Formats: sequence, structure tokens, C-alpha cells
Amino acid sequence: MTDTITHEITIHALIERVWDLLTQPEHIARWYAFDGADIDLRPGGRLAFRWREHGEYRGRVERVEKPHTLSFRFVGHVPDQDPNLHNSTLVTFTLRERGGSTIVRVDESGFAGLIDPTEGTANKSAISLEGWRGGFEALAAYAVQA
Amino acid sequence: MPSKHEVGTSRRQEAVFAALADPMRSRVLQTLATRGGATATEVAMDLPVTRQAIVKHLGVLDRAGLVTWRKEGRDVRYEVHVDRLRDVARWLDRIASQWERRLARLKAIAEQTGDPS
Repeated sequence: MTDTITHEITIHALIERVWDLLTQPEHIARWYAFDGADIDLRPGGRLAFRWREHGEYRGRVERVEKPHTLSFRFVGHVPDQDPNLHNSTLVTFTLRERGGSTIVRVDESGFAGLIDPTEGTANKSAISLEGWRGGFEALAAYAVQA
Repeated sequence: MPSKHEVGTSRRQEAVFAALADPMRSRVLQTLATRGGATATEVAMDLPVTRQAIVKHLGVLDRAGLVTWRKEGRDVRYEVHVDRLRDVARWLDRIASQWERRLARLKAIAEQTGDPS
């Protein structure tokens, strides 16, 4: 078990078309943020995805390399919050061309950095991804054999 | 997006991530796993921190639901709560399957012929 979730899919469409579907608000609303999306497509740009029943989920664009890479920090679990390092994960879309088709890969990482707001002022200097990973892997192994 | 229920779940998972983010706390949990359960005093024998510090770490792990405990005479014996770890694994699986569904929708739209986009 690691701190990153990855999923990959091959789409039989040209990379430019897939890029547009992935980055244009009117298209994002068709496959993801059904009640509307805003995205200012440049590093530091604001991003908001809306679902009527859940609210507005916010993010901030990190990288835009048309038509290959889009990454953004995203607060996927609490509505109406601007992203920071302790409430958001990093979502990265990577597009590759293969013979007229497009391979889309999404990575979501940084779950280990999420801080429980109920725990108050956690000792942030003591928080390390490595620590979390090491602990988690050992425990995952333990959980399997138990 | 997660349902209301899942939002609540993810808050609980955050407590787990926060608990495990501290390297010493991870080691406390690993020590419990290795020993198959231990008291704070026993954990302190294996790690370079005071029993008092161990007690604090065990408190955080307990609030995150990562350990269970029972009284044993004057001591408290802690054990790893394996179900809780499986829970976290399932939570991550669910996030993965959400991406799977979203990308499947993206694919369906992209591959529609005659779509003007």
C-alpha cells in the first residue's frame, strides 16, 4: 500500500481532443463535475468543481503542459475550502499518444499529508511521508499475514 | 464525488493518516505488531523514547482507531486493530474506483463519433 493511487485508460481519440475534454469547463461538466467547473488553466490558477448535492470543491493548478500534463492540488473531501498542503492531494493527468489513440493516466498522491483537523496543532515538523510510508507498508504486510 | 457518508468516512481516515504520519508513532504501531500486543512499558523498552511519550502516541493511535486495548491488572495492553487498517485500504480502493468510473465516462465521451467537441 502506498500513498499514490494510479489509474490508466486507453482512449481511441486524438490527444488534442482528450486534452480539451480534460481541461475545458463545459466538457469537465460532462464526465466529472456535473454541476459545473471553473478552471484557470495556468500554474497557480483557481479551480472549482461543483456537484449540487455536495457543494463546491476547490483546487489550484500546478502544471499545465498542453497536451501532455495537467496537475492540480485538490481538496476532494471537504467543500468550500481553498487548498493547502495539509488538506489537499495532488492530482496529475498524463497523456501519451499511441498510434492515433491516447493513453490517459491519473495519479492522485499525498494522502499521507492530510492532517486531521480535529487533532489540532499537530507537530508538523515530525510529520514525514517516509515515516508514514514505512509504517504503513509494515502494517499492510502485517494485516495480510494476520 | 463522495457521498455524505463517504465524506464522514474520509474524515476518519484522515485521523489514520495523521496518526501514521509521525515516524515514531509508526514505530510504536510496528512494535505492537511485532510483539503481537504490548504495554506502554514494553513498547518503551524497544524504542528510544520515554514511556510517557509512548503513552501519548498510544493515545493518538487509539483515537484514530488503530489500536485496541484492555486492562491487564494494573497495566493496559495494546494491540493493532487490523480491521481498521483494512478499512483504510478499502477507502483507498474506493478512491481508485471513482477514478476508474470518471475516466470511463471521459473515454465514452471522447469516443463518441459526431460529437462536435
